[in-house]
Amino acid sequence: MTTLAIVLLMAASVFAIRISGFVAARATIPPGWERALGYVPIATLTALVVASVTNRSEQMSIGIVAAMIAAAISWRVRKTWACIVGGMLTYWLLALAF
Amino acid sequence: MRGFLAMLPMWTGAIPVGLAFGLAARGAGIDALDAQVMSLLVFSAAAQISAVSLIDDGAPAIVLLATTLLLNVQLLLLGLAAGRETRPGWLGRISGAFFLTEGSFGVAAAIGRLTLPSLVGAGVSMYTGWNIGTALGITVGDAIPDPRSIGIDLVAPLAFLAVLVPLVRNRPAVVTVVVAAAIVLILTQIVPSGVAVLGAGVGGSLAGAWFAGRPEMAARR
Repeated sequence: MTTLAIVLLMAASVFAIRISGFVAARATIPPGWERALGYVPIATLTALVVASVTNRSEQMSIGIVAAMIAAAISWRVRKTWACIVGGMLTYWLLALAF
Repeated sequence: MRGFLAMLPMWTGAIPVGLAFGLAARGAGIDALDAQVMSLLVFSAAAQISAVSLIDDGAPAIVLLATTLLLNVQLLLLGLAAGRETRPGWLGRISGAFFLTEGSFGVAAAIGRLTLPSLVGAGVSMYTGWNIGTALGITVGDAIPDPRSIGIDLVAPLAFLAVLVPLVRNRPAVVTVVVAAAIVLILTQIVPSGVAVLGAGVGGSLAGAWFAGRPEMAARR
């Protein structure tokens, strides 16, 4: 499958989720379901971070340390750019040092 | 228009993440045009950055689409809330839905009663920032001769962290993070990483919902 085909399928899926809320506005969702749905992005994002940081063939341990520092920065500063820039700077400094 | 203006400060959030996406996409060898089209049509940071990692790993399309759905499941709840408040016609539903993001919903809801124009205005503003960021990231990514050698593949997980950390606001969220991390570490030893992410996404969120639903947590609400 070409990347463009994947992009189009992704666009269709995300739009389907976006529009279904608007269309089903009168429907009610049981509170238990609503609560579970709120944790899905947290779990999936965590899994993506852990999988991609531990999956790197080169400099894996440096990548893990850099990600932890970036998480701490994000916790304190709450700025997207600070998290990314801080993490990359840590990575480059550690890569130079070791 | 008020939504658009209120959203301007959020450009500072949308541009860096868009830049990170563009950079990561080029680092993973995704065509510049495909990356920009993705930002124009999909308009979802989490879905797009995960797609970069998964395409890079050679994950099958079905795994990629399932991850896209899981990452955006909260848009269903936002759409329900927005639909109830604004009661739009078909055209309004389509435009409201296309530009719906967590950030734009939050801003539009914060400037007073939620209306369709403020929701769409905020969404269009964020969309503009997101696509400018993507274009910048693609340009910067193309200027770097060997992105992988300087660790550009780390940009994607860092961008996820920037989205994830502010979401972890209570103990059930912490439980979700710990369980999802444990599941993915175990599953990646057995199955391809895309499938492991899906399993951890489902398992982690069930654990979080279970923890939040315990009688002692429910009593605190």
